[in-house]
Amino acid sequence: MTARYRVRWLELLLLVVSGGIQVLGFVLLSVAQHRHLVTSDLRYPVVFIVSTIALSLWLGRAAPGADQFLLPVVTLLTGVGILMVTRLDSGLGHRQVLWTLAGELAIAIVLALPRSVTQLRLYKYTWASIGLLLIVLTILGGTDINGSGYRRWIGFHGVYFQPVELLKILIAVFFAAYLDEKHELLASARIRLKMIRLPPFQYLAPLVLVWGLSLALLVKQNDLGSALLFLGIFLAMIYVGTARAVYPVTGIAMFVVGAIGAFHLFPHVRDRTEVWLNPFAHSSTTGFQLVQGLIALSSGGIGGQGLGLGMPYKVPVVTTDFILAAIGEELGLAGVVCLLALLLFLVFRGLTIGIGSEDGFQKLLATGLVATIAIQTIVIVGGTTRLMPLTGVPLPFLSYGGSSALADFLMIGLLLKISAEAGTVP
Amino acid sequence: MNVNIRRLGAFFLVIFAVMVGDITYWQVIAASSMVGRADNPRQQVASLEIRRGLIVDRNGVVLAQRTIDAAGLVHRSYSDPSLSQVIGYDSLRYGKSELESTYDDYLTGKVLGTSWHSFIDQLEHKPVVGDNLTLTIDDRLQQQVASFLPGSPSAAIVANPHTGEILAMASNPGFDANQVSADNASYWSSLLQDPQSPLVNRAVDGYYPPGSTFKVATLSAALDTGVETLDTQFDGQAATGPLTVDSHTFCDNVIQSCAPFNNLPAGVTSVSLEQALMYSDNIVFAQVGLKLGKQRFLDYARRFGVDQTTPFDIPVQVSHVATPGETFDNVQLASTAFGQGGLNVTPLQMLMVTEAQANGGVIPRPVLVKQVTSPDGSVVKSASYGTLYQPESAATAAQVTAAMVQVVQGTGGSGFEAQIPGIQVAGKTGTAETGGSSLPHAWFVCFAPADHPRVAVVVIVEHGGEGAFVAAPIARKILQAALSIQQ
Amino acid sequence: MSVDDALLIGRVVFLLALYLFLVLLGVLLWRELRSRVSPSSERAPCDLLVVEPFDTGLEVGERIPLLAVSSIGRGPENDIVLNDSFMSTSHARLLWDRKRWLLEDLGSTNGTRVSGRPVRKAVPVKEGETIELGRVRLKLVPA
Repeated sequence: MTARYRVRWLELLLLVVSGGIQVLGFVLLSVAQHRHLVTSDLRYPVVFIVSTIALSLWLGRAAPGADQFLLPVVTLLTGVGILMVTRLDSGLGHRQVLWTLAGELAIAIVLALPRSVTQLRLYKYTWASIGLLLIVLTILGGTDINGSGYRRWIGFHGVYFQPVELLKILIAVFFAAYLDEKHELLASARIRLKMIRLPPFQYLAPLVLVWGLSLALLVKQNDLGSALLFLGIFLAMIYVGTARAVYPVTGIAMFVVGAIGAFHLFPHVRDRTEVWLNPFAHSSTTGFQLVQGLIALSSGGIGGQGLGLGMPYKVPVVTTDFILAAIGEELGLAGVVCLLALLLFLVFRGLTIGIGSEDGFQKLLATGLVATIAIQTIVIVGGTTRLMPLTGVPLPFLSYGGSSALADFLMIGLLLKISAEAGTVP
Repeated sequence: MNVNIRRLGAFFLVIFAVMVGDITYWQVIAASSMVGRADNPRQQVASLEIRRGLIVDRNGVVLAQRTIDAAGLVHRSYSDPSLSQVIGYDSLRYGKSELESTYDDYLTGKVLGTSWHSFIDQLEHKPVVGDNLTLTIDDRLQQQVASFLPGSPSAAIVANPHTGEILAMASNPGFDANQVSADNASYWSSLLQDPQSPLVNRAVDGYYPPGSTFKVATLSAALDTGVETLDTQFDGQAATGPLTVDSHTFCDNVIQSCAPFNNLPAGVTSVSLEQALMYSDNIVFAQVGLKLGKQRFLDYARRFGVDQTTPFDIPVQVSHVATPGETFDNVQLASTAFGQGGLNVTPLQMLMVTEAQANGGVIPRPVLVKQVTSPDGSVVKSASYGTLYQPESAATAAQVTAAMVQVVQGTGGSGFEAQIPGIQVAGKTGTAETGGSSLPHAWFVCFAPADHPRVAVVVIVEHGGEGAFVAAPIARKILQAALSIQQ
Repeated sequence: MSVDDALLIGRVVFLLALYLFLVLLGVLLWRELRSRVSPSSERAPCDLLVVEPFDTGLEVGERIPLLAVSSIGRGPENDIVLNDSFMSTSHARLLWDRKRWLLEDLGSTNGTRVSGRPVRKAVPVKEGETIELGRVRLKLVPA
């Protein structure tokens, strides 16, 4: 590797434009809240923007060939997220900025490491074990920091971390490594059952085992949203990895069976399903949050009420699960569609990076990471807009969440590294 | 593998498109119904923010306004309790009534100007300021009129017979709209339980037999069709009665003289039609009615507005010439012609009958709201003045006026209590039998000065007794007050 | 201009700017794609020399010119159509990225080999190496 430097002009241009938009947003918020601009309100976006530019300059050295579109899109999304969270609770906004900076540091470190991404696959079982162990730790001795009733965090000295966020990356790595090694085998047809050519399910065993363990632990923790996410990642990666539709189809069939089982076993699931089907009948009890969220969205109309000018704080849990309702209320349909378009762009860009890589493991890993972002978005947006029952997963980059911000940035870092390595695989 | 990655991408694209569609549904299509929900806290905040418009009288005296008390609570304050049934109340719990209801969209600023300005104000979340109403009411007169009425159920209306503007409208017993607008629950239930129904606006919703005041209409019909003239003589039994119509005999007492049913003074056995009005002779008018015939009589009743919906700024009860379902045979015709039978009218209807005589045969549209103005003073809506009905010719009106002048000014006229020195008053008494043992309703309609009328008045006192002695004196006081203010 | 007017203008500008960013992304992406699209229809500096044609109908020693991206298979939509029964409709793809040649198997039934080594994902091919698609054998030679 030559130690050359390349200025990432495209990225810097986009970062500056993204930064300008963020500053404008904070200016509008400040004026709306105080009737005049309070310059100290601008420290968040300024600090963030400066850090992203610094990161871009660092990338010019550490990974000059990496994709230049990812980071700016992520910063704009993150910037709007910080804006909304600050609007709702400046204390949380402050913490979100700190976690975001930590995330950027993570990107810098990932790209500074000389080893290739592919090296990750050598320790796949190690990663999986670490991830699962962390979840076990939370079940045994975790803390519940936001009163949700579930203990999903571990931490000390006031810094708390949600291991499931890290697990999703580790699982993606594990799946990618496993599928890359075995994909020939899995894609072939060994068993014939009348007309159907069945793949050799037995080779899937270790994969399903690891996956099943994760799912079990998540269900034990009542983190059904993450369980759903992991199912989605599993199906997406299997489909891409084996090119056989039969796997995801079987997976979906199993999911339906599991869902029906869950419906009968867990009153929690019944509640959520009932609220999804009939929210207005329960608008003052279990459906209160969803109905208020929908009302907030409706209040936004097409152009939104304006930053700081609506009443999004009337929606419960608005900084995490219902951040979309807050954005919908104050930025309107126009704002929401644009942000979803940005997320979709991110997803496509990630898939393009996957296509552009020649290494099977990296292709799969890119797919898995991108699938995480896409499926998280679908699950939480779908839940808050009554397309499906609500389950709590964070909206990537937009909702409040330290661990998810750190993890999402780490994923972006890996995608950047994959894009940088495209064309230089040994 | 790339192929599958692309397919996965397409899959995500489809799902995202579905999500956008769903969000569009909530933010655009279902938006108004969601935002209007009762559990939307934004609505409550918004409705408190609305600066409800003022209601003022024709001279700018503030009658209803939005006030904020020491605790920061918003109230609707009314300055004249006698206008409670005209202006109505605005209560979160009990809703809105009368003008507060019919003009609610103006008062809450929902009738937006088509200006760019108001659209921008909406986007900028500026507190909505409603439009103001200017009424035709003159509050000085209103308060006097209210004081002249007894505390028992009664009503009075004062109007300009040419423009149709209502100068005063009072209905007793009244109530305090301030208490209702303040959501006072015990006060509200006391109002509902009050057997005298203080919430009712008797001037427009009271439904009474008009008694002899309706003879004005019968007379108008007879003269206008040429069936009779003012000089037509009625002699002997034709004047005094009894009168047998089909199987019914008017004047039940077998005594030969049918007084007081014919209302004639002692010794009078022969009257002209004009005198019959002056004395209020039921026998004569029964015959006039029969001579008109059912067709023409009903026709004229409707020309005066009976059985029609009266367009007005507050809801008006429809007057009916006959009780629905009853056959209108000759007996009914005869009774109705002198103001009984199944006839039931509102005081506003009788005012309109009176205005026709004062206004050359033309009934003007009754007007209560002179104009609606936006906060910056520009006129949003002006009252529509004009002709509502034209039941008779100007010549007929002049003749009826002459007869009505005799009622008040003439010797033996029943309306003598309404005489005002120096001014010619035209009027008609009414004593409406209500059946049973209760006293009849006391009515009086009038206008003055008779040659160039400036004011028309109708007064009714429920179960007050004789119109001549109960209603006429009140009407005189009202006329004097109205005419002096009009200087 | 009042604070409220300024805020209203600001809100409009903010939303417009968000979309402008998207448009900018699109424009820049388009330009990047264009600088990559044209090479695929460029002539590349190598040919495929037919070694064992089997049923393709080609002659031994015949030269097939290569593009920067050449798709190979039985189907008529391929850049290079080889109609041997042991070949799949969409069999393989040969890429030139200005530095080296890469051969990718597109999920063929009978497999692809380079100098005897089986090909799954994209594998570099040096000039002079022999490519087997099913049973058909071709050699990468300079143009």
